[in-house]
Amino acid sequence: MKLANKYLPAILLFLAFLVGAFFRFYKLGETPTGLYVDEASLGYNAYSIYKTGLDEYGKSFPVMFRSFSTFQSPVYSYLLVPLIHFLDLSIFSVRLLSALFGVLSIPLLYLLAQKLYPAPRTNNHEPITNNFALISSLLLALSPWHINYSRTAYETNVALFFLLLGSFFLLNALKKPWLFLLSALSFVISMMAYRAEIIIVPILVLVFAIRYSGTLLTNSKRYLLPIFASLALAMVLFLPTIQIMGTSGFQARSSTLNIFASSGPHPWGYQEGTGLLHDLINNPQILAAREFISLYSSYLSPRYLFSLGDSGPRLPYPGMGTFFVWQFPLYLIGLYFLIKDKYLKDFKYFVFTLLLISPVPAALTRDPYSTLRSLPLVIPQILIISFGLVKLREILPPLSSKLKLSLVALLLIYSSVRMFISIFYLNDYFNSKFWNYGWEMVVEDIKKLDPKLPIMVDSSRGDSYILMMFFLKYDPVLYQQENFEVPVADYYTSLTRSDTKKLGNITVKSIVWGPDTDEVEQYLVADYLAMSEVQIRDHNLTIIKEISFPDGKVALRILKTNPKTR
Amino acid sequence: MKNLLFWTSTILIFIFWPFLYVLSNRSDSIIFILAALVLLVDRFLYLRKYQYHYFTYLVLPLLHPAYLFFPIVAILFYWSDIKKMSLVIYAVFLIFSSFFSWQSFYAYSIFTPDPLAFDTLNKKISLVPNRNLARLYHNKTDIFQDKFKANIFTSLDPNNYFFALHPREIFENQNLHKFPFLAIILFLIGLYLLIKSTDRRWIVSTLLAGIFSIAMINNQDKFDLILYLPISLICLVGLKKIFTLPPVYYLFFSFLFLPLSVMELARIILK
Repeated sequence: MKLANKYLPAILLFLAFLVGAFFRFYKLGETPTGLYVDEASLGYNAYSIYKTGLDEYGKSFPVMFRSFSTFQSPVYSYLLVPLIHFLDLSIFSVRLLSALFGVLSIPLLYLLAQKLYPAPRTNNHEPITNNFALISSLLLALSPWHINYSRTAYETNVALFFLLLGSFFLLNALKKPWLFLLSALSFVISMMAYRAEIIIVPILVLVFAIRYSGTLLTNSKRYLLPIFASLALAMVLFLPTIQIMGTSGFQARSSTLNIFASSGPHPWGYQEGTGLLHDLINNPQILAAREFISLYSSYLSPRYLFSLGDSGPRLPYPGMGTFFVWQFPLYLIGLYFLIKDKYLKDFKYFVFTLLLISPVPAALTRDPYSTLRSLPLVIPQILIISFGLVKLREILPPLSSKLKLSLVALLLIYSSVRMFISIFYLNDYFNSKFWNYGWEMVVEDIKKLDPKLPIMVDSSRGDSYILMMFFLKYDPVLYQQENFEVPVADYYTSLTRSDTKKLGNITVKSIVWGPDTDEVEQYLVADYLAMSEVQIRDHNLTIIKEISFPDGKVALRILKTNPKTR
Repeated sequence: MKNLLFWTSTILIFIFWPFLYVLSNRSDSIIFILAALVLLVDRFLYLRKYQYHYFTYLVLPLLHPAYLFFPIVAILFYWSDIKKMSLVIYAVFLIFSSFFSWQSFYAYSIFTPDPLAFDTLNKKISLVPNRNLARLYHNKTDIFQDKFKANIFTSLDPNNYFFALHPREIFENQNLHKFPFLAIILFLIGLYLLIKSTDRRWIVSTLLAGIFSIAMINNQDKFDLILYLPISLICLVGLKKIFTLPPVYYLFFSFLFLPLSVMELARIILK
């Protein structure tokens, strides 16, 4: 019995790890069906670096990838290179990295939670099983929010892993000061993996320094050298990013999305009008501050957490919020007892710091409740829910512990099956149109077309060229020779974009009605909105192939023009 | 000075929602204002320690059938105090009024048929290969559950009261600015201190009864005015706390709160 108790935490942690791995790896390359352009860009640029050492624009090992002039953080693409070497370029290999870091975050959260919330001890000073750390890792394994980003290629998931790793090393560095070095390394990787962390990490480190200033100052001789070495390492590693921070490329995304930016749309609440009163009520700083508070508040509001979820079309699984509804009372209980608690100071500092700073980068942008930009928030919220569950167990009437455990297990199994249905049966049916469904099939089909005729792919509704390149595994050397967007010297400063991309006999551009549809004999590839039945009839186009969404509606069409018969 | 700042802030908190409500709903606002006034009368009786104050809740379903659940939920909070005879009379009145209001309540409620939601549900069921599993997880109760859940969380959303539901406004709602946005600070302080407040029983009971009763309604817009008094009182708890702190705190708060609230009021009036 004692032996079973001894190994029970390890068994349960392994179980959490297995469940988490199942939800992250199962059908990874198949669902979400299709590939979002950002994922394709991360994957193709990694492929290009692997093959040539240059990105799609011919820049050697860039500090940030130009992508669609949005400048993607580089870590994800660089980490993909070895995976592409072994697995080749595919939807599976591109998403595998995110899934791997998602799964590794589960035991990492266990270790972090153990550090923050040490196992209570019996009267004989024997440690009692640390339920809290186990519950936290199990809830992360089953978190719809975390699973969502683990099953898709987004940099934010990798950044979160390194944020957790950095925090873990930081907390342990008080005992082993040289761990400051590993902490600095992890934090810098985190900041280079996703931009939101550039705001979160420094504040987290600052709060840590304030919290432990007494310990650090009294033992300054012990800590001084490791801290300076860590700061120096961080500076050296982050210097290339700092160097480009002033460029228009780096700032392009933030200046269009930032609610405090002077350019772009008016802040929420702006009213047209002239005169002193209008000037007063339309004060941009006040309106932007009000909008910021409203957005910030939404990240902590139960409506968004437990009901609405993300506002983006690709992100929430059908019928699911960011957390399960039954976790709402646990969240309230956890929050209440955590505020009241007087002993778990390290835990409180960590949870509240991360809880309060994680929404800041996301709330600075106009998008409502972006779970992508606020992903680090999943950690403090899961820790609070877990704390709520532990406290509820304590305050509940004296039911047998087996009964309590069975109730929790039943709830988790029920939620897991619900999530399984949503991810693997419903999501592709309801959301496939937001995942660029069908381009992989288009690429297979155009290989069978007459090679003498040119192919024109419509790009009026997105960067379809990257999907073509991804699925064709188009030779990066050829692409770099055939296309020019900016000189390498202007890579980070010029935001100009080329409207037309050449991939051999394939041209990717916005189709022009008349010249492209009536005058040249060629194949056209376009989505259902660009080429309706009426337009096909009016321009005498022949349908070669129609690719349908899982719900049966037309997603993409391959057509042939007939200029002679017209 | 302190009193002036306190009372001006209090007036701004209490005037915002009803004032903007009347501005936006000139013709059909009276019923909902009367419902909020019923709670005001109840509060007056409660403060006077009138034993049977909860009988005022029975007026609400008579004002609008959609409030049918309010007296049912609210009475649960007074269960320990209530005498058997009072409960019987209360129940008889409630059953009697429900005879007249049930049909109208049903028309307003989340239980009204929703063909679009029903189609989506059928689609979900058809997508799951195992029919029994599909029916366990996706059945007719889903439609009501989803609407109930959405309503409850809309009522629990601070942005509903302080930011006109921004950033996720509800298309068919008025999305009223119910309180000056900086009052969210007072609300959060008030919420935290509520557990120690002597007022907590009345505030919590009316707040929860209000939230649960309007969660049963398809579109709770306008009906949510019934939450006006409990939420304003929570803000007042927070305001009182700030004015018990050293002057620098309440002066700083008033310096921000008063001009920004007046500006917000002006913005809405000019709209």
